[in-house]
Amino acid sequence: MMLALIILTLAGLLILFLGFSKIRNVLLPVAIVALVAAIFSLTTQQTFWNQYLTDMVQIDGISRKISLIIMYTALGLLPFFNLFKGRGQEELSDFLGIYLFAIIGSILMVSALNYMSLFLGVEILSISMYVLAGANRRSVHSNEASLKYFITGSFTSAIMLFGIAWIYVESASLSMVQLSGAATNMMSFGFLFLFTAFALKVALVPFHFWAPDVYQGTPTLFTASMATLVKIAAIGAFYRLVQLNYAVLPDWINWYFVLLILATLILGNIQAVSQNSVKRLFAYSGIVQSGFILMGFLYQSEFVDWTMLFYFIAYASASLVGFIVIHFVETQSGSDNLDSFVGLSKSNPGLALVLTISLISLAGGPLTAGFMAKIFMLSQSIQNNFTALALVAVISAVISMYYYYKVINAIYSKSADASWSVPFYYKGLLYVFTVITLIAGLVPSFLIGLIK
Amino acid sequence: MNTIPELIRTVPLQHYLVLSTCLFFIGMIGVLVRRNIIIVFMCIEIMLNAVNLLMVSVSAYRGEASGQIMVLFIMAVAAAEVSVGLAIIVMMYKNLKTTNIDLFNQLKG
Repeated sequence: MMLALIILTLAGLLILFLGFSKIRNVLLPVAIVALVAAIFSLTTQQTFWNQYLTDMVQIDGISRKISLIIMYTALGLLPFFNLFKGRGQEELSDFLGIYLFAIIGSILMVSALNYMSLFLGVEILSISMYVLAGANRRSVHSNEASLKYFITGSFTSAIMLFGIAWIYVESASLSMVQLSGAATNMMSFGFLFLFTAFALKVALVPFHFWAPDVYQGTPTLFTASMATLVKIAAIGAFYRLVQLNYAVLPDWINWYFVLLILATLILGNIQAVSQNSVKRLFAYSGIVQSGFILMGFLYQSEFVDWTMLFYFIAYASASLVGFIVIHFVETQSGSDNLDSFVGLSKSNPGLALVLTISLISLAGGPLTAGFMAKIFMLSQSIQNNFTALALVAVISAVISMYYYYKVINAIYSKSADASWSVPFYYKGLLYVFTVITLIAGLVPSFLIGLIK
Repeated sequence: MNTIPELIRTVPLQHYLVLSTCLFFIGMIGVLVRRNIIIVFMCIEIMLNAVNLLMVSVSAYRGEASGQIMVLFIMAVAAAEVSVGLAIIVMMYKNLKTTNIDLFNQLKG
């Protein structure tokens, strides 16, 4: 755990310095090697220097699994940073370094055991993402996305801190594990603020207003990391917080989650239907998916982790493919509107195929990871006696088919565009993600075995 | 000469709680209604400082140091955050020549 953080920090600093050196073409390999080394050290459970982290960070089963999912997702996106090569060595080194710092922040966030390290993790992740959101300095859209992300982000951290402070008023300890009995009113007040801050960070309705704008304005590859890395880290940290404090949480907390889920599933879908920009559509899709993942938070007696982890993998593999294909289409046609996707099946059949499978997976179509993930989530919530909620979720999934179908329809409609291609290694990676989506859908027991 | 925690304890804890909650909501309302980005920034700082006040007073009352350490962290992180935020504002100002938030409505669905 500690070793992974040290490796990533040193690699990030090294990359920032290498950006000014004369040596060419080493930045990306350094980043990939560092991330692989960090994944290796986390998989083999190295305990180097772990004793200095006793009460601040704890790497237990669930946080290790979420960290690994985050790191694999980050690793999947990393080769595509090669697309920024045209912008010069300095900018590439900035992006890569900051991206590695974002990964550090998300690992710290999901394995925090103390509110101090939770806050630091959230801030390391957020500040890195503010910078990446504004990566296109000349574009007003990128500027606007960066500013909106910044203002909602720092507003969110202020709310989170206020919640932490009220918990501190009552418990006089910043430890996330509350040992004393039931929560008092002050503590419940604190938890309400803390959870609202996380709902803002994850972008759950009614706290989602910033997400579509930010996702649309941000350069698409960074949107991909926002939609996967940041979202998984935020939900993971949220989940761990609920799990650690589950004994002291007040009774109304399940109803708070139910209200959030209902609003997210219903309003998120309704707003997604009228979108014309595919990037915004994916933003709303991400919002609705996080509503589904939140169903894993509803507990009766015990937590079942693997449904949520399975959902993370299904969501990450599908939406990574989606955003990367949007990036290629956007660079080709100059816009991310639905019209740019018309005739993609003729002009670039490979990309059309992977995008279709990713859309089917996000919609929850059979034979894909998204279908199994939704089934597991629904059966879990029915087991926990939230049958009405499961019913609403099924109806919302049916509504969501409509807007995913809109994109698929555009891809396969006729058009006389000239064909274009992307380099084979990018395409190969996209096929790999798609194969993961399909394997998770066809033989879910294999993936569940891996998770467990 | 009293020590600082004793000085803090000369005012009842409830007063600190009420004051910092009021400050926090003043900041929150400011973020939501003001139209100038610089003012919005200052309002976020008010929110953070309300939290700092709460943390320090509780820390002094309970004789527990971690709250004050947290305050130092919050200050450091807030400084880093504001430096990024000001960079974003400079970047926008170069493109649009304004700091009014209403002009940034290019992105909509």
